[in-house]
Amino acid sequence: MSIELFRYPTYLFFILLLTSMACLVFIFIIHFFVPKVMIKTYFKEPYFSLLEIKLFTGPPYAYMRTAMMMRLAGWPDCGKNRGIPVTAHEVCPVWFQVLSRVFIRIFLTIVALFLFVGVVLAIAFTAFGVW
Amino acid sequence: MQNADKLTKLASYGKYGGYILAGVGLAAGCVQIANEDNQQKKNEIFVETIASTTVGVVVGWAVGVFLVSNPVGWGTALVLAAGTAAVIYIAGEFAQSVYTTKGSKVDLVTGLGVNSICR
Repeated sequence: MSIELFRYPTYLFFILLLTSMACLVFIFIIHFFVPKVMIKTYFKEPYFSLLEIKLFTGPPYAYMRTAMMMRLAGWPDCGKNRGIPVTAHEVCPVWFQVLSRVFIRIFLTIVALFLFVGVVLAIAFTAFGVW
Repeated sequence: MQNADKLTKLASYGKYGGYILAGVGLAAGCVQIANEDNQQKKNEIFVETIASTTVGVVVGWAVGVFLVSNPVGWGTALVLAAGTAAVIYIAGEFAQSVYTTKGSKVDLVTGLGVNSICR
């Protein structure tokens, strides 16, 4: 068994890294299209703690708030642990709900695949003494 | 009220921490590239810096997706932060190693104009 076997998984690793970067560009753009009404209605106490509100408002962590709002838009019952009503998604347009559901699925698949390929390659590289 | 002030301060420290981690990481990478004469080493540093920064931001977003359904306490937050830091470090080191093994023919530093920025 040779290290050459891992040539294509290695290319896949870098392709997934580049795809992740593309996702970040998309996240940067979509950040400005998160419905304001959703943030005003649900990104406040008592649903979120004061620390979370302060931390995830403005740079550098505001993009994580976008993740939360997109999850809430795509999966209405995901906020029940925080006491967010299951009707939360109704305040945002349908296109945002659909986009959130599609993008989060694609994003998590890419991240999971990236981490999986990374772990497999790391084990292989360690076994071959390359790393 | 005093508690709210404390939380506000804590959030500010967290934000400064984020700026420092990302800024220092990128700046340190840039300085290292500038100080290195060997083109191969420059490329390795570049790949490591970009990979670890990208993975950091990507994992941060994934944590955001998780946070909305699972409000976390201090213990979980610390475990998440430590886990993320470990993943960022390993991803950077590993990407550099993969570049050295398989991609060293591609001169990213020159091709992307990093040479002219970090000099």
